[in-house]
Amino acid sequence: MAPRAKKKQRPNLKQTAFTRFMLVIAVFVVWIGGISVRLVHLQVQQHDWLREQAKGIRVDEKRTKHLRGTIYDRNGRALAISVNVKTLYADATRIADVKAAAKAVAKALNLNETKLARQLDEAKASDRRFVPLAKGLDAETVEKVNRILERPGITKADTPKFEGLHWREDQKRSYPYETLAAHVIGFSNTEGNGQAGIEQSKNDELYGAVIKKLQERDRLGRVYDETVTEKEPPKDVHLTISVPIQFAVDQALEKRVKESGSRSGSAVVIDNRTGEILAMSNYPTFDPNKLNGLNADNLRNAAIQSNYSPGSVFKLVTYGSALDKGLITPEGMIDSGNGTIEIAKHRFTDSHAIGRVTYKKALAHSSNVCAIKTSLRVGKETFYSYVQKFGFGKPTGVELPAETGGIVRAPERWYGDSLASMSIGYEIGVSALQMATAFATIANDGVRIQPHLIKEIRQSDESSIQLAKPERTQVVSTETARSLRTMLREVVVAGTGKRAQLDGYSSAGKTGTAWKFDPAIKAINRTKYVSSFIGFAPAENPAITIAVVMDEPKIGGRDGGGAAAPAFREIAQTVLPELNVAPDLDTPALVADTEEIPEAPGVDDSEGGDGRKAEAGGPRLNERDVDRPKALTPERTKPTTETPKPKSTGLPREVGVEPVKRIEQPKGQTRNKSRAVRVEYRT
Amino acid sequence: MQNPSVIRTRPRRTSTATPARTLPLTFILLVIVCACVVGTGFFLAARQHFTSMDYGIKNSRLRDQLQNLEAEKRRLLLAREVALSPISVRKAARGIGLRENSESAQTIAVPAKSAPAKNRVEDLHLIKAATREEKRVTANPFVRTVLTAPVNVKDSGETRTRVVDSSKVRKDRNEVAALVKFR
Repeated sequence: MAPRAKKKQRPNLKQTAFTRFMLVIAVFVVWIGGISVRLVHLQVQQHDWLREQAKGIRVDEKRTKHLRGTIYDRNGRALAISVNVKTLYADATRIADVKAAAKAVAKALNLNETKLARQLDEAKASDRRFVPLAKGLDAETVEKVNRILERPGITKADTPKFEGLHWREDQKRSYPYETLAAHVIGFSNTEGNGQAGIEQSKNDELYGAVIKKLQERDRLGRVYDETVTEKEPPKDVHLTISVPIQFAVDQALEKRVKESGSRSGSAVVIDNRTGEILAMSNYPTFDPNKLNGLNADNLRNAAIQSNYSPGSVFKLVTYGSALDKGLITPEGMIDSGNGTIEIAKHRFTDSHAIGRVTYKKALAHSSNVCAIKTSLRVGKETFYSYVQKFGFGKPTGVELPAETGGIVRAPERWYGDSLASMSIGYEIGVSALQMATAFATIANDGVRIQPHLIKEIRQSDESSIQLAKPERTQVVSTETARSLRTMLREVVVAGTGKRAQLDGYSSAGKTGTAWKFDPAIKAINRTKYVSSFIGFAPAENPAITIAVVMDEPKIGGRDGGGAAAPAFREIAQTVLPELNVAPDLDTPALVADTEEIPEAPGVDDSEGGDGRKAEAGGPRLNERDVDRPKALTPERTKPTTETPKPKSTGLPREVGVEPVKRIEQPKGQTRNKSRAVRVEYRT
Repeated sequence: MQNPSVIRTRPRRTSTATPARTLPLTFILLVIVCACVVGTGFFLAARQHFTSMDYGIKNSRLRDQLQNLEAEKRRLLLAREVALSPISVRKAARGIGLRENSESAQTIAVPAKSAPAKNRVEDLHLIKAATREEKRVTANPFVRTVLTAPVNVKDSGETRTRVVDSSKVRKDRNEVAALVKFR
């Protein structure tokens, strides 16, 4: 029998099972512990980093811009509107086969394949992720390109289904009416910032702010959640401009500028009852859709940005102030003598002597002598106050950038003959809009309403923003305005502005012809004119005021009556029916049957102003009769030595004046030395 | 045979097992119900989650659609404005061969350079006729689009001379009389 000690012990199954169980548990514990530690490490230590990583994969940040606000005319026709366009760009780092990609894109967009391949190669070499390939494509083209570029098997959330190619949302500003009211509307640059006109002055309202979108996408690239952060959407601007009226004005102005061979022209149409500008036109103009290769001079809105010497149209202020002060009446008499007057040793002359006439006739014939005599009765302080009241010397406040305030010097800086010069529209700089506003004041019974271009600004929810009401000022009394209207009517009926007569409507206005200041010679150039006609219609109950200014007319009548009045007529003839203004006359214009009255810019020294009418109204500039007896004037200025020496303003201060004797001049100012210059005035 | 040395200290295990502790039925049911509730909760939550994602996707698509429609509306508005633009209308009219009055008159009036002398004289007549016609057309372009008679014409007291060609008036009168007679 074998000893019991040697007998093989049977294993303790329970113990074994327990041990094994515990081993498994331990493994599990270690495993789970490891996982837990890792989890703690990931979620505590690397929490931020991981969250950003996850967001980067899941969340897509998209930045777009609101479409820039629209500019409408008064009837709701869009003058400037932004539309969505797309830019095709390449992420060069994701393009595997550059040649194939270049070939496909070149085919789709009709581009040069070689150039494109080179461009993509360079971009890939420098790891560029944004290579614009085609800009400003509309929806139709985008669809077409997507179809051409589609590759089977490409799983991309966005289009085109081509690896490495993407679309970027963009916007494009369009001006559907092209050149129409281009100077008023202006234009904006590619960044969506206004650069001129209303686009610039109302940029804050029109500007399309950035929209930030946080889009959460699933594994297929579909957006399932979106957080949008945006600023206030842009507003729409409604102008007082009317497209049909603006078009009529543009056409009439262009035609007149071409016919008269003028360098340029400006026209403004104002509703004198409200101060709303119905049209503002300049020629030559530009198309805001095509700014490349544009002549920068054409961008200038001369109607508000250019100063010019108004000439005889400024007699409105002269006679207006005298009437308002009760110094004259339209039927009162004034003697123009022999058509010459001498002030501060300078002689002013009329184109033809008219003798003793009523003030009405004096204005109708645009007598410089009568206007000067009237201004001398008014006095310089009173005259200056009326100049200011009419709004000269400061911007009108129209909602356009870079408006000029004109040039008006204070009386203490005037020369001895400044009052006389200013009374006939020299030594002063005005804009066409300022002049139009002055006439609109008379048309509106002496109440000046601030001219304005913006009718309404609408928010995205169609609610309107309250705009400040235009300023209203009583400049002259109603009676004065009525008297002035009668006088201005006479200008058209029997004066220098006969070409402004209308068919079916009565009209009133004033012609203006002024020599231009030439910066090259620092004096007036007597071969260059600024001719204007500013008036309103119907004469009795005016609905509109129209200002037409022609710069350097060369062909045909070069005075305001010949160069600008026909444009006034054409504009009024189109605009009045458009505004449903009832005709107040049943007779056609009689301009062809009546004798024309010439107008001189300020001097007529032909034959010594002996009463002979200048040939076809042309100023003859032969300097003669320098030793004529000095005219007596109520306001004889002090000797020149006592005259303050103002700084040079660049104004043609001696326009229309021939020096009797050389007088001391301030530095920087030269008197015109032209001798025996003859200007062929009218063909 | 039974070994006497072996003293059975414990009673032999009989086949009859100790009575198992049985869970109460209510407890089991409660657990099942709870499990069902939890399960259903998870299911509903998952369903809601996926539905919300689905709605989110649909919402996003609708937003895109809305944006596209608005963009399309703008494009159409722009196209309408371009079509209504007087400049475009003029271009289109010229494109289909329409000409303005003055242009057509000029076209008639311009003689061919190679025309013989006799023809040139005829052309000269044509030019004169065309010029006269053009003047007649353009001289009085006033069209009464609103009213044909003045309303409330006030006497402004102003007078002006009107030159009347008596022969023309007579001619006009005769024409009117002939027209009345004809009718």
